Amino acid sequence: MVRLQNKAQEIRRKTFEAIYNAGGGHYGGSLSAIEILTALHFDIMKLKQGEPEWPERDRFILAKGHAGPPLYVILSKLGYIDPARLAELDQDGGSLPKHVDRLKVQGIEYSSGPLGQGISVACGMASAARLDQNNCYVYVLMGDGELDEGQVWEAAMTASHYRLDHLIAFVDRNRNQIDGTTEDIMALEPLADKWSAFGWHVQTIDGHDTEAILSAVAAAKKATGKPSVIIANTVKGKGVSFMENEYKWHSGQITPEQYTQGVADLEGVSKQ
Amino acid sequence: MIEFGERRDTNATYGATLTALAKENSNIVVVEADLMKASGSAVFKVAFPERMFNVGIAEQDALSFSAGLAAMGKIPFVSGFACFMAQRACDQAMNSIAYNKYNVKVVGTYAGLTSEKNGGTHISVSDLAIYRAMPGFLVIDPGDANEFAAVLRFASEYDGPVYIRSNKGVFPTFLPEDSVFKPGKAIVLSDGADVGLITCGIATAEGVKATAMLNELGIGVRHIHMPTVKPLDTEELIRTAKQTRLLITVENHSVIGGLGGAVAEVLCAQFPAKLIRLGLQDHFGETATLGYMMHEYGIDADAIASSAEKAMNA
Repeated sequence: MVRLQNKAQEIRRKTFEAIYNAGGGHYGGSLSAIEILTALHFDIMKLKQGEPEWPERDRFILAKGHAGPPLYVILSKLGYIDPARLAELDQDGGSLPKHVDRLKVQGIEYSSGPLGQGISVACGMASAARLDQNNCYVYVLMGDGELDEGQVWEAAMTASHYRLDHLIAFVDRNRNQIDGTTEDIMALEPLADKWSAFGWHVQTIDGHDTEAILSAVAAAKKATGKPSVIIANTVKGKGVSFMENEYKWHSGQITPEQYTQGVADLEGVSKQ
Repeated sequence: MIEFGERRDTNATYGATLTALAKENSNIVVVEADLMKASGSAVFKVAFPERMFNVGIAEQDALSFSAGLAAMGKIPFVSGFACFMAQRACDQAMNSIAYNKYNVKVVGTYAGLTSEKNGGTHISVSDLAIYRAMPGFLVIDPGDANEFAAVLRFASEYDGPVYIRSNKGVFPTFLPEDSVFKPGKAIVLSDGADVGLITCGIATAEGVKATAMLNELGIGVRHIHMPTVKPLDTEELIRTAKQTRLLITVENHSVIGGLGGAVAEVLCAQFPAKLIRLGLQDHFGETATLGYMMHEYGIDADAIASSAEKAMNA
């Protein structure tokens, strides 16, 4: 478990660096999702190193498509993309757009960005897999602000109606969206009750604790006959002192001094 | 001279054709948003219950859900009223399907004025324009139920997103039952040197009748049926423009962005010619019968012939 936590922290550092080198971007929601993405790709999901198209792989949809940078770092470690491409993030003519793009990046299952659609796509994938008796799991990671989109709740009904128990959704519950906190802009609470009412198996965990993430997925797989959602309480901008829990760091640019501060913050955590 | 055959509807054709295709291809699946009644897919549900997904009154979910099915190798045919498939779920068509280049077939039912007494909110005046604007989508408005069946077969074999119009009600057939659909190819229905008449969808049958009326008046008509609104058969269009004195487009749709718009774009760039665009002149439909609206809006046979005669004598 220490291995996964360390790996997550390394991915967090590289994500911070990649976004800074790109000239700015979605720091907040990228840094909050690191442990979820790391646990999924380096432990939970059935994947093959270097073979992004392996038919029996578990599927992952990054519904909050703006968190592309950490996923790209992970894909480079899985041998799906050349690590040198990280320097192309958001560059003119580059091959790594911040919103994930399946046609440009090997290992991306679905090009997202417009919020609310990823969970519907995941429902379609899970339904198709069941039809083919493919036992794979479909994972989807949504932002909490994304839950404002009505389509999420259309899909929540669909998943429940069709008893898609191989669909496991994560909500990156960092409690901040572009214009403010989620509870100020469009209150989500009582969030767990909402998902329960829609017929889902619901768990709420510390989204920065890889052990908790693994346990929650194991429990989700045991909840047969219904889809599962894991509400992962996270910190937006996690690990960078001046970004943590500041909604304004949903996206933005930082100064060289702030970058130095961020690197020191992240290295400090690593040394602890 | 084109002769009309049996009057058939696209509704019954949809269910029967997809069911037949699904027996040959196990990847074909159907997605509905509580409008099996309009699309005619109920017989598919009886034949292949496990391959039919009804997501309820949720067109956005229906299109993105279909994208997910396609991502796993399925060939989804997803349908709903044309107005909702184009307008309400526009972003899902654009992003979940077109941007991802997924192999989804979107079928817009009760297209245009055929929605009749459902009224202005349900009459799709812009679905062709909206889907034409989406990179990668083929856009097809079949002329009759026989061509509609051929389009469904083509779509099931073609790898990529396709938007297909379906109508409410029975319409005369004028193409053979075993016709093979050729995407991007117009069908020349009559030849003449005066008027170049370009039609799609249910407007083609009206064009056939208008051609007979105009011929009676000594006006020659080169009538081309243009079921594929995107990509347009530019070669046939330019040929027709060169061979005739003026062009008239007729469509069950707004003149903005549909067949008339597409033809105007090509002519301006490649062969400027006099063009009259018949269709809804930038207004909504209303709660009325199809015949009433087609006449009032100038797209039935009488109105087409009258417009052509007037233009020829101008």
